[in-house]
Formats: sequence, structure tokens, C-alpha cells
Amino acid sequence: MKIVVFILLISPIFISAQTDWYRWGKANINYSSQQNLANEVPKKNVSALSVLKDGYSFFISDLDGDNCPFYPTCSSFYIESISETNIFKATLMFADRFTRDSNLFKTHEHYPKHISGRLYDPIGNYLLTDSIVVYYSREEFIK
Amino acid sequence: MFAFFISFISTNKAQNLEMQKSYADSLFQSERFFDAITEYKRLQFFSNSEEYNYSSNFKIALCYKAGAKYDDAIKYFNIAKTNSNNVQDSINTELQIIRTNILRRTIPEALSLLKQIDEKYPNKIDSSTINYWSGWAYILNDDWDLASKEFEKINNLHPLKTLADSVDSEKYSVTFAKVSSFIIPGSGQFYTGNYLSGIMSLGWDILWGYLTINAFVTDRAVEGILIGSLLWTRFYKGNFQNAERFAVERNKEISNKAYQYLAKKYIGEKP
Amino acid sequence: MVTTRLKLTAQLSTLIYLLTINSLFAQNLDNLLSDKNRIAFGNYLFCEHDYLRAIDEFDFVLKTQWDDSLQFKIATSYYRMMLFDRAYIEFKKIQVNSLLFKQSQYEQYRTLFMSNNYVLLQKVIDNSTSKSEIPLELLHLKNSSILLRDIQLPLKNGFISAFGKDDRTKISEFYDWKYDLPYKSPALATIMSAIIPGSGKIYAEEVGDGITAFLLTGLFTYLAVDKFQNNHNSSGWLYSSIAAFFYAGNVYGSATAVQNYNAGIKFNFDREVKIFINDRNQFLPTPKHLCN
Repeated sequence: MKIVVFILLISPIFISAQTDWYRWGKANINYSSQQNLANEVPKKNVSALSVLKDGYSFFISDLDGDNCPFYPTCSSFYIESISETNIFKATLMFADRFTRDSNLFKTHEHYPKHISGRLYDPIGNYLLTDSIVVYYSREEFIK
Repeated sequence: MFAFFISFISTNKAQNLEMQKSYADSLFQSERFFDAITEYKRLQFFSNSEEYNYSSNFKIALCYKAGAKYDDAIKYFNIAKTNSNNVQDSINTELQIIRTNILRRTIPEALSLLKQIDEKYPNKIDSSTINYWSGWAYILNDDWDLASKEFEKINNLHPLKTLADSVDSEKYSVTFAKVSSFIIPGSGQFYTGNYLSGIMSLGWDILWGYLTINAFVTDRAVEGILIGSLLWTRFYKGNFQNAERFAVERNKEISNKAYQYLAKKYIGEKP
Repeated sequence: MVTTRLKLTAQLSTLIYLLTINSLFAQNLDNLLSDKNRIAFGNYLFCEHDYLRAIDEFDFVLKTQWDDSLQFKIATSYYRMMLFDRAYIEFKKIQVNSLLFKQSQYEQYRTLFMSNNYVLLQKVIDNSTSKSEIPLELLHLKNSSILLRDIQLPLKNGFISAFGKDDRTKISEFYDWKYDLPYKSPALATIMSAIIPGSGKIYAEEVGDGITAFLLTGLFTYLAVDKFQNNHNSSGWLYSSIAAFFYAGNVYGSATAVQNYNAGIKFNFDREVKIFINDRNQFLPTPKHLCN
């Protein structure tokens, strides 16, 4: 985010030649349409949880349409927060996330944008630890 | 023999530049494109005459193209074009710009340039060349039907026409999948071959539909509205969204299979 | 007999070919690859913003002869490619006896500021002068970077008087803003939401979320009460637990919402300050003689 401020200031002067600011090599050209940008949080090793999650995906989330505007998706958010905290706190976080998800007024401009086209809503900002809350610029896409 | 040696040691500048060119070319040949660009730039920097302007800019553009840096490639092709020495060079460069646009997937630009080039150089370019690159533009735009028509103009038995036709016929209709799941939940999924998902969608819709109606019948209106709005509509929506998604994904798989064939096995000229 | 002679000739010609090729690259290219020419080409690349290639040329020359102006350009190249850590290291290589020493010191400060390393920046500025007085421009940079740190601000009068007339109003504004950043209290939000569901979210300026939380909690509480009144105890408990789920989630979420709100307050303040400082060119003189 801080870099963006800088880029905005410096870009009119130095926008050219940026391609060559790293040593690139031959590209593999295969014509395939662009890969789907990752929508899911990479799988972590939570065996009992992942069974639950797979079951949930199979029976429910794969069938009830695309309802979650966020990245990570609601179920991934829950799974990840369980593995980072405990089931009690994770449930509170999930209840809050679910409420924000069902927000009737769709205040999407309150969230930074993720490169997948969803709203970026990382776990770290909801752990109740003030020092690790990160505010992301609304003008750029988060990778 | 001695004289031969001496002549090389006391070379003049022109020969030096020629050496520099062949060094850059050798880097280009060994696919060290980043370094090749450096050496072509060096060549250009030290040659005061305009002798190398066309060839080095053209090569720099080719390097960028090979590294999939298409914006830069087009920039340098355009510089090369203004420095070209004859009509054939200009045409070659324009065709390269078109091919780079195809790779960059700025298809509308590629198509409009193809149209322009035909008017700009009358009787200089084979109409089959225009058709061929138009066909490729449509292929990379996932427009196999239009691509087939372009290749047909070249030759009715053109291998790319055959390919485009087969891809076109294999594709699923996204609208049909969606509409049929609109009418009977799960049927679109059956059409795309996702039977399990189809059955489960149908199951959920029957269950929530039943519970919603049952709630209204037994005078539990609030519960009825809740189940209906939160669950039934959710799964019904998911049902036809899935049908649409499956069709799109299947189509993508079909296209990608063809793209893979084109990248790895097709031996004709490629953009 | 004939074949051996042919073979010999072939071998000999290969040898000669290799020798000539070697000599070609070793000697004839020397003209283009001489240090002088490399520097000229490097300068051209540098001015075309082709920094990585320029660094390669300068580095090659520096292997055999030291030249502080080339070193300065290498460091500047890294700076402009926004590789600030590397730029800092490269600027530091310029020694005290160099004519570019002063400039390179300024660039070190600029680099530290750009990489948000304010702690080191302030330390380095303090150590830079043996005299007790810090030069004015460095004081400006040091003071304004204090605004970006989470430390107690020094007294206002002394802080502001260091700046020139034109900047004083703006800096004074920033000082007051920083002195009392409009943070909200997570504890208050928690208490508010505990009493009226959703109110803490509204306090955190998430009005939509607040209303949604209120409706969800209210709806399921109503359903639970309704069920218990009609003696449907099992569904009564089901709805109560859903209501409790939303209630508790909202109390928790009100606190995190305020934390996120506060992070936004800090972010916007920092951004304004940085824009101001960068607008003033970090209060440092621009390096000379790089490109015309």
C-alpha cells in the first residue's frame, strides 16, 4: 500500500522500461485461456477439519451457488480461523463474517479488492489483535 | 595466412559493428533474449548510420515477443516499421504486429489491422495470408465458427478448418444448460454430464420446496418465508448457476485441448 | 593418402577458424566494449530508464577501476527500480573523500524514508554530524518522519519552528491531527453491541452491517420466543442458539470493526503526510549531473 503512494508519485517519470527491471527469459506460449485465478485458500493440513470441509463442499457449498463475495470464501475463512485460533473464537469470527456477508446494503466499497475479483477480507484483520490489523489501499488489487 | 590474421586484428568500425550484430544474433539464436536486447541496443547506440535501425529494432521486438512482453514488442515493431527500407520489410513488420496482437489477445485490434493492411498494400499480400491470420485471431478469441470460415476461404480441407469445425461441434450450449435447469432443476447438469451434481441439486430443491410449502400450509408463515428465501431460492439459484458454470467449464476444457494441440503438435506457422 | 591430407586440412582449417573467432571476440570487439564505450552506453541506458542493463555496464567497468560517479549511478538505478535496501547499501559505498559523498548521504536518507525505515533514518541523521546542530533540511526530514512513527510527539512549538514559513501551517495541521487522531474505542463498540445488537457496528461506521446484525438477531429471538410460547421447545432451542450465534458474533465483530476503522484512520493520515513530504522532495536537494 505504501508503495502505491510512491508509485503514484514517481510513475509519470519512470513508467517506461519497467519490463526490463528484472531478467526475464523465454515465455512458454500455449494459447490456453487464462488460468482461473485462485479462489480458494491453499489447503492446510487439518485432517479432521478438511474431512468436514470436503463434506460441506460436496453437500452444500458446491450446490448452493456463488453466494460469498469475499476472498477467502466463508467456509475457508472458518476453516482457516479454526486452525489459527480455537473453535470458540473462530465461531465468533465466522458469525461476524456471516453477518457481513448477508449485509442487505452491499457496502462493497468498504473492502479492498482481491485480484480474483472478490473482496479481500483476510483472517488477520479479525483476530482482535490490534497490532496485526492491516489497512489495504482501496485503489489497488491485492494478490 | 598471416595477412588474413592481420586484416582481422586491424578491423575498422564497420566490421566491428558487423561483429556486434553477429554476437547479438548468436544470443538471439540461443534464446537468451534479455541479453540479446542489450547487445542489439549496443549495436544501435554505436552505429551512427541508419543501417541497423530496422534490423535491430525488429530483433528487439522479436525478443520481447518471445518473452511474452507483447506491449514492448509492439512498441519496437512500430519503431522498426518507421525505419524499414523497403515495402517487404514494412509488410513483414505489420504482420508481426498483427501476430503479436493475436498473442496479446487484443483481437479487435488484430482484425482491424488485418483489414487495413489489405487496403494499404494492394496486390502485395496473398489473400490467404490475411485469411490465415484472421482465422488464428478468431481461434484465440474462442470463436471457432468464424475461424472455420476464414480457413475455408484458403482451402476447404485446411487442417485448421477441420480442427475448428470439430471444436465447434463438440461445444456445449451454455444457454441451453442454464434454461433447462431453470425449468427442471438438475437437468442442465445432466446435459453437461455432471450427473451426481444434478441429482443432488434436484434433491435439495425438492426438500426445501416441500418444507417451504409445508410451512405455509401449516400456518407458519415466518418460517416459510425464512426457509423459502434463505434456503430454497439459494439452492435453486445455485442449481442453474452450476449448470451454466459446468457448461462454461466443459467448453473451456474443449478449447484448451485444442490450444494444447496447436501449441505442441501443429506444425504450420503460428502467431 | 589423399584422405589423410584432406583430414589434416580440415583439422587445420577448424583450428584457424577457432583462432580467428577467438581473436575476433577478444580484440575486435574491444572497441565497442572498452571501458569508455561501456560507460557511454551505460549512461545512455541509464537515461532511458533501462536501469538493470545500465548497472551491468557500470559494474563491469567498476571491476577494474573505481569511479564514484558510476557507483552513484548504480545506487540511483537501484533506487529508481524501487529496490531501496540494495540502493542504501550501494550509496553507502561512496567514501568520505569523494566529491559525491554529501549527495550520497542525502540519497541514503531519502532511501531510508522511502523504505519506511524511520527509526534508522532518525538514528543516522542524529549521527551524521559531529556538530551539535543538525542542518535544517535534515531536521525537516527528521521531524516530518516522526509524524509517521508511533511515538510520543515532542513539544509543538519547537517541532514546528524548525520548518520554513511555507510549510509551517501544513505541519502544524499534521501535528494537531496526529496529536489527536480520531480513533474510536473497541471497548465502547463492544458494550454498545452487547446492549443493542448492531449499534457498535453503526458506531464503527458500518451502518449496513449494524442493521443486518440487528435484524438477524431480532428475527431469531422473535422466532425463539414464539416457539417457547407455543411449547415447541426443541425448535425454540434451535432458534435461540441461532440468535445467540448472531448476537455473540456481532459483539465480537463490533470490536474488530472498530480496529479496522482505526487502521483506516492511521492509513489515511500516513498517506497524507507521505504525499506532503514527497511533494517537498523529502526536503533534500535533488542530485545533480545524472541526465540532462
